[in-house]
Amino acid sequence: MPGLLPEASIVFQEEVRRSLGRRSFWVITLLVPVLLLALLVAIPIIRAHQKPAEPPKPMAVVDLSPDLAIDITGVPGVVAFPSRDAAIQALLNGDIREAFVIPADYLDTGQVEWLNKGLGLFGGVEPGPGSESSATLEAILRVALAGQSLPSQEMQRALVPASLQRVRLGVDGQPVLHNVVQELTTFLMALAGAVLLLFALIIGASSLVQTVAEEKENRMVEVLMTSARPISIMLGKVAGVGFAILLQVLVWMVSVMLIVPRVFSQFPDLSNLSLNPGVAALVVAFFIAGYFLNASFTVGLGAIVPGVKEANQVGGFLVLPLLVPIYSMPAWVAHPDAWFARFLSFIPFTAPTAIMVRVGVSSVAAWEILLSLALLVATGVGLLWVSARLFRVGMLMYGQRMRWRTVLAALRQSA
Amino acid sequence: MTSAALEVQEVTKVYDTRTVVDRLSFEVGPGEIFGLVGPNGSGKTTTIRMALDIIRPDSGRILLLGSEPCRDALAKVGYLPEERGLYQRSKVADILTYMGRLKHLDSATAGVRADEMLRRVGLYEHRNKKVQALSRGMSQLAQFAGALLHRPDLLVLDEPFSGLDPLNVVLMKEIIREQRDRGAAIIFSTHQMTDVEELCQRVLLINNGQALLYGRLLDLKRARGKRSVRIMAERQPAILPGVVQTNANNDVCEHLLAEGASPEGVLRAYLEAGIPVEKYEVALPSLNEIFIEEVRHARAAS
Repeated sequence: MPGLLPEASIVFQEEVRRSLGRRSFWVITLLVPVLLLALLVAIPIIRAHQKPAEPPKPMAVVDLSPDLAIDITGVPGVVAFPSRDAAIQALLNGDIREAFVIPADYLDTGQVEWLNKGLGLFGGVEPGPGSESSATLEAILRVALAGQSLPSQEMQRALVPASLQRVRLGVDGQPVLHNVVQELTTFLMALAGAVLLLFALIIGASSLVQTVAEEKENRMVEVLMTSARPISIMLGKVAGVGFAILLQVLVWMVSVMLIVPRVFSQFPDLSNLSLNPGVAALVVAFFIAGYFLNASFTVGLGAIVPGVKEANQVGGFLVLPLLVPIYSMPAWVAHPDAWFARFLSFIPFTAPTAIMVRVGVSSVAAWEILLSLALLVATGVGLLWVSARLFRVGMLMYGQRMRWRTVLAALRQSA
Repeated sequence: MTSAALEVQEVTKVYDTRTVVDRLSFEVGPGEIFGLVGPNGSGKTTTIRMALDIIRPDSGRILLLGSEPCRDALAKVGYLPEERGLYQRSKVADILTYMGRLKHLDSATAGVRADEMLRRVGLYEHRNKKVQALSRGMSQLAQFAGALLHRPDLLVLDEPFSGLDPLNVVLMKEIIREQRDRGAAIIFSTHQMTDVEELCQRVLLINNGQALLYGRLLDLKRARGKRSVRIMAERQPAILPGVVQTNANNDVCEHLLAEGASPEGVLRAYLEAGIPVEKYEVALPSLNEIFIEEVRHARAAS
């Protein structure tokens, strides 16, 4: 006798076949790569037709080293400042685009401070000096080093003239300690995870509810129930539709990974963005657990509602809890560890997006992440158990709404 | 261990406060077509669902192919439910293959059997069409074919002929007899008495979830003791001795006889009145008559 998994596997394969056989599935799946390819083609065309940009603002050099005599005479686009404060002021005034401060102990350390003005989390990406600025600085330093009577050991400095210490300045001219690149990539990844989860659930919830309600309406369920256990049917459905969605997300991710770097390569400042593997693992874990929870709930709900029409109405409401952390973000984004944000992280229906968004804007304690994930999975398993019992009774109640008494009686039966 | 394909023992099902099936018992043997007969809402479908473990009885015992309803036993059951339907946007052959796989056939065998059965029901040319492109009757035949794919030991057919044209009814009856001849037990649930009389050896008549009559069809008819005479003639004589009721249908009159009355007396009355008789037949009461009478009595008693 086939066990639970072989039965579920047959239902799974059928659900995958039916999902992948739908034209709408492929339209949605291929939409992202097609849009990205269109972007890749459109950007060079748009840029070619843009008006010539204004001449760039100069970069500044502040030489505080007593051992060097830096001369920038005749170097285009470079200005000298006598002090760090003067350079910061010019930076805040917008007179220069960046400043390189060569400290007094430069010959000992090889370090050069790079000052730039941050534009805020959402204002753009400034991970480091552009390649042109770096080359100019290195050329200036090499010339200065060559012009000094330095011991051969210190002349080695000319090979690698500057190790940059990057300093992002806030609006008050004080250094901001955060690593903007990491923050930005983390935020983007977490937000992308939350958005992908929402998309997946909107498509998946609607697909699952419809599948179950259609089987109820066309009475196919009676034949299914003489062939497989309700729990196998449900597992197969949840996994089958989930697989189709994961495939869809995979196609989107691969197209993003293949095409977006080519899009970014047209913007030199974006070239340093990189993935944070920890955040990626967290996003994937919460994505799968979030789908499992919602899918288990959806299948049970599909069994209870009278028909496809009601199923469609209910399917739309299922994603609302996931939107709560995103819509309420302005209320708690300044205090991501406050009670409300934590509260949302431990409610299974809001946890996936709450954790993803919180990780995007702050560092969340590991125990909170693990507890949230554990609650999510445990609730998903519980809901699958409940749904399997409702399925047996609810699926036979064509065009009828289940009463609470019937629901309770169904829960007492074995699946 | 029992040799019956299905044994239902004192089974009861209650929904809320309504008893839908009430201490019902019967059994169906291999190689027989068993009629499950009753008016709408009498509990036929609920009984079938309990037998197939789709819903659970509140009390009583069910043995399916010799054991409590379990996955092994259910894999040997074919079921055509009363309310039928298939996935509208799937191809006919794909659905049948899926149904076969759910009954423990491997993919290749299920595919081959699907083709075989589609040929048998005359739908092979439509195998790659989506179900939504088929007529209702064709879709019903496809589902019937799906129920037979795994050569079941027990075949449960709930109102199988509803919505079919006469040609397809004949085809389906042929296939049902073939299944019986290869040894399958067949439960045929309906309220079309003529079909039951044509196909079934034994019947169970239920009303309000209770058994009214159960046994061999011929025995049940004989046990009624009532006989009738069917005569095809241009008109009726003024006096018919021993006749308690006459039902006229075109040129055929069915005369129900009183207890002890002789059929020959009725024929003699026609001949003595000088009415030419084209056809004369002594008939047992039809299942339809028994059905109507029994259900009326039961309703009057309750």
